[in-house]
Amino acid sequence: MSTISPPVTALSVTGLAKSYGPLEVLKNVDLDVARGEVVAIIGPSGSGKSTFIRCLNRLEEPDAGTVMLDGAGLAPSLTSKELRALRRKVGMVFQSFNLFPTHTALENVVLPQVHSLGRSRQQAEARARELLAKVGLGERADHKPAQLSGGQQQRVAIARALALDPEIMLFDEPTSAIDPELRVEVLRVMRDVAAEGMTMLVVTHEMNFARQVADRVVFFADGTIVEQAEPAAFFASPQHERTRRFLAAVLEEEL
Amino acid sequence: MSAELILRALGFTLTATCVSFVLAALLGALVAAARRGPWAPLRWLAIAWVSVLRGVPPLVWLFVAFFGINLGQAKLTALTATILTFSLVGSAFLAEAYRSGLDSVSRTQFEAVSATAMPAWPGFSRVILPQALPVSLSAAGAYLIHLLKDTALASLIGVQELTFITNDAVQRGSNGFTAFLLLGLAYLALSVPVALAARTAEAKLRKRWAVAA
Repeated sequence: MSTISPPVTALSVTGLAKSYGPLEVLKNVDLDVARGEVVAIIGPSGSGKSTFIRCLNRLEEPDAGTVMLDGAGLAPSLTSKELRALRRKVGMVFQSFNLFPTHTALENVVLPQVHSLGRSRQQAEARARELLAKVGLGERADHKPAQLSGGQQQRVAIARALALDPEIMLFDEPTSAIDPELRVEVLRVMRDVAAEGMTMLVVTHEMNFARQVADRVVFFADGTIVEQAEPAAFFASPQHERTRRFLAAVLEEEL
Repeated sequence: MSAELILRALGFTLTATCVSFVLAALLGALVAAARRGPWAPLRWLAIAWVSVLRGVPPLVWLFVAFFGINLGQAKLTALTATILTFSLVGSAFLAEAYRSGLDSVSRTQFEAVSATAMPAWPGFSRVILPQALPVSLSAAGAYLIHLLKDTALASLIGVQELTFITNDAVQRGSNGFTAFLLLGLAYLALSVPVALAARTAEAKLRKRWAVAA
């Protein structure tokens, strides 16, 4: 997807570490992501991949390591103002959608624009309608989350995150909580977002998405990056035993 | 018993109930905020506040306040002591009502507010509060009825509210059974509308902030 050359680094992570008590969830993780690059992060559950992306928008506070966004380093502990500035640049889509249940789809997309970016109600609504149409839910703008399917809710959540015009989008297992036949529509939207040049980090169990959409596949196990490569090479000839075992199990399941 | 006396007594009962409830609601919000806030000493203080105020019978607090306050004219003092007592005790109950509401909101909602970069107040008032309030309101409504009945305790320190004047009338020779039965009906006439109003308000909130339109 990244046709821009030379590649500009959008995100640079060095030595990221995080423990919960005695449990080391992340051990010295390094990762550079180029602008416009789509990185699929795969690995067994408990490998630290979700914690990793949650450290990038500081829903989790890392214990050590540096994160640079667009060449600017983030302080180890941020003020609430700095946190908000970070989260305007780094959007997130959650496994369980986390839409605001008392608001309509439209309001879900409008509210953050008004309160986080200071857009006028009118501007925000116009942008929200445009984004909802883009994710195929123009007709559902006035529905509440509970009246939407999982796939539809997740598409609203993607629109909500995109509405802040982020530079990077994080996806934390975006299709894991969705009925298999409804995942396609979410994956299609993610494909469109990737095609428009968005920098994306996608924690996923969707091997087809990793294979077809990602520029690079990163394999996490036991809190570290075991292996990474562009998808064709990654799936054709995994280098590490741990990766081979994981792929054997996952691909077996997919058949 | 003159109509004037009854109206005045009704006034005392309603004043003690309403003023205490409003003050308790405001103070309770501060206590609940401290309870969920980032400062540990304030959290402990809030926990202690709730435990101590709820762990002692309101009557005991009322006597403590009454004998502790030594200011002004006796009548005013008794009513002030009543309002002071029920505002403080009520703040503990209402802080818990707010807390149960906030606890009912999923942690992921707080994360969604954070992840969308919403500032604290709009995030709280537009996203969290609409989900918490119906739960808190039903607990608060129950407490309001409780409080209305508890103000009868003020008769013991000489506030001439409904229970006081009924007891007074009985002392002067009225039929005790009839008098107190009438008093019971008077409290019912007050508490039933309060219960209905609370239920209506809760239903309205739930409708306004329904999760499904």
